[in-house]
Amino acid sequence: MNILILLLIPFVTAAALLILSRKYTQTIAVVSSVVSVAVSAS
Amino acid sequence: MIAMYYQNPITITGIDLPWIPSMGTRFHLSSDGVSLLMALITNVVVMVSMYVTLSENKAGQRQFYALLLLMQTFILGVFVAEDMFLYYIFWELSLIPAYFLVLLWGESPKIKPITLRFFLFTLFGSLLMLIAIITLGNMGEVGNYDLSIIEGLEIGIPTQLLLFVAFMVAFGIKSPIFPLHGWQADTYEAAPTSVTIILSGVMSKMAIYSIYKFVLPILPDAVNQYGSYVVLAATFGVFYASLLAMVQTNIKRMFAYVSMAHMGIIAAGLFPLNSNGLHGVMLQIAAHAVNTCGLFLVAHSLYKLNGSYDMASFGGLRQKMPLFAGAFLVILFGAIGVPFTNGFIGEFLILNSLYSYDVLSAILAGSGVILGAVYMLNLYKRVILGTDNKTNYLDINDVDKFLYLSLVFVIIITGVYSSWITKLCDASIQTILHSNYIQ
Repeated sequence: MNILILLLIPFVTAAALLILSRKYTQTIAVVSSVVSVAVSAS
Repeated sequence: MIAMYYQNPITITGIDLPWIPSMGTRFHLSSDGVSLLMALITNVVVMVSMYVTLSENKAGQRQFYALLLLMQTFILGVFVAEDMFLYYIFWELSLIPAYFLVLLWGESPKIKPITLRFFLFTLFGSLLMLIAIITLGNMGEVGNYDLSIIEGLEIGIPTQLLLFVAFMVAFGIKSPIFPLHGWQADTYEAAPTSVTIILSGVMSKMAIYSIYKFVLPILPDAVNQYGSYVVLAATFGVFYASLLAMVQTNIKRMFAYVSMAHMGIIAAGLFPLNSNGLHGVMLQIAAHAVNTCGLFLVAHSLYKLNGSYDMASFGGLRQKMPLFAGAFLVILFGAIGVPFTNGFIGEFLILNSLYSYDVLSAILAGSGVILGAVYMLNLYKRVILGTDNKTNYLDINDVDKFLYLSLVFVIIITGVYSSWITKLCDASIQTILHSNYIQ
């Protein structure tokens, strides 16, 4: 697994929040943080 | 990634691409056990920070979360960058979302001057670091900022000393280490709690990680000759921050000084340059991240009760909020380093290595630990065990319950089984010690 994925998860989510999403902001942010933890621990 | 790293370290790959060829910089990311630990800590702390905001309905929610996530990205970049110029870019970028998060969502009427001070302190340190990095990058025959090349440079002692001072000012501000802590308590107090958790839980660790990753391997002679001054300043800072914490009545500000005291112990643990001390540092980094999340979460829960951080406005909460009282007790035990909690082993290893390095520093750090137990237990007595002020408070809600129980679980499990951290970091620690300090 490439270490770059750790940086891409929050970065892509932040971009998506700013560009695309106006709904479910909290849910998207929390899911992203949980996925980040899961990827770094797995 | 950590589980995969345990099975076979080669499975975690990095990336190495040319970036600005004329400057000799590369987009080089890589990881070892220590950087994977730091990445895990970052992600866990950001997750806790996100949970803290769940019960709030902030204005500009999209921007708030986007800035938090960008800060997470840049902090992770600091922990995996192998090119010193790229590392500097990530370091600086992480300051920008932090600045706006504190400025736009801060909780103090004096937020503008507080944020400006935070920004200027950090920027000043960063500029010194930039000069040091440019100096290092241009020392070889061809300009090159790759860490593996810079580690191989032969640097004279006077130059090492200047670079050491530049790096230590930058990292001493960020950590913070006494006497460079002027921005810290105000910023931690004024920032929204979710941001304070990241500042204290992760951003302060960026400095400790950087000393470990760059200063120890690149400047071994300066570390050997002048490290003792940093240890003395850091341990005096432990004592000083503990005294300041004792006289605080604002709970959040008190936790800011608790954090500073713990960071002083961690910073001091780097310089005795032995395996126990460095393992203690890694254990204590992990413990401090979890405990500081817990402490600021406690402050946040108390603030939600009556809109105040004033210790005197609480009392007898154990009767109305037994679950909160229990969770707070375990977090408090972790923070003061009671055996079988996560704070014990790291603190013990650091104090042990400090004792063999410099007895005065060990005494200063040890007295800070004792004072820590005094003021934390006093806080618990006044807020949880004190006289019931007859207010009808409800115990923590389901979201908070999950969060507190998760933290309590981690504090106890890491206290009982901490060897996963030492195994994870051992190869990296031995490489630094054997290539530079153990002949």
